Amino acid sequence: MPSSSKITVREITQMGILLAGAIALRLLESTLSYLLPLPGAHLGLANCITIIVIYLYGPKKALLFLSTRILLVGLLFTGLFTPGFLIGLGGALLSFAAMVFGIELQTFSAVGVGLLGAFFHNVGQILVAIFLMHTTALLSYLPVLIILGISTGFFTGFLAKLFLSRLQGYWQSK
Amino acid sequence: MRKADYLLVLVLVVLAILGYGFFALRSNSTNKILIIKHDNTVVERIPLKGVTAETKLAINVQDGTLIVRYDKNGAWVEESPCPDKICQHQGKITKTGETVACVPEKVLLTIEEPQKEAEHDAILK
Repeated sequence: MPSSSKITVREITQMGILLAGAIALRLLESTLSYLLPLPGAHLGLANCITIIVIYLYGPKKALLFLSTRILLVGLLFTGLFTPGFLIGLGGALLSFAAMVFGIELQTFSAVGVGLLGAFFHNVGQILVAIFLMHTTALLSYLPVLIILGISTGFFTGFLAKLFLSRLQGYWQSK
Repeated sequence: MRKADYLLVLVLVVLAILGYGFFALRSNSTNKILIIKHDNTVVERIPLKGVTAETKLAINVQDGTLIVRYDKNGAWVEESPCPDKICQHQGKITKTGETVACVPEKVLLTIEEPQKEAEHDAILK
């Protein structure tokens, strides 16, 4: 993991490409969402990019990356500060914190980090929804979301791992 | 894949099963009450036992009209002006403790038992 906290032009460029990728994937998965059994569920492909960014550039720069992505996705698709945006924001931030924690622990591979990310994304979303709707009845969605999160988290984590191993030697962040 | 990854999958599966069990254990009693809330206030409170035919209910919301239908077994959102239509896709709820939420329009359908509902009311007051 990189130690320098200063962001270089090289990193900005690389993160810009990844950001474009993340936004494109977000668009793709919202058109693919009808494939999943639960309404409103996403594959979390954009989360795959977040995992890659945390591994490559460290948590601080990854948070900058994530904030930019959330802002742009909000502006492009959901609209800023709509309920949908806030729910996504809650999920993204909690899952980010969990993934950073998972990576710092160093006991998980990228697959485990993907699983953590998917699980806490669901938990964060439900928590914001509970706050907005003033009802704990929404917790009953959590079990099915957890099961769905295992498969999507596994998938995104696996993709991130594959991407990172292919990248090694070609794309260093120094 | 490391050992910790497998362990994490196991923990998540157990968590999901426990959660599912918890919600499935709730009784499917015949004495169900449909509560419809809009903007955190109760707009309709319908004992489903007394419902004889399928009934349509229109609620005025921020972006237009949201249409709820219910019969003696349960309720569902038939039409909503919200952008994502998640509430419509959630389908029919029939068991106590189940819920349909339309977050953009702040509409919430829940099925509760009379006893439990009384407890909730006491907390709200």
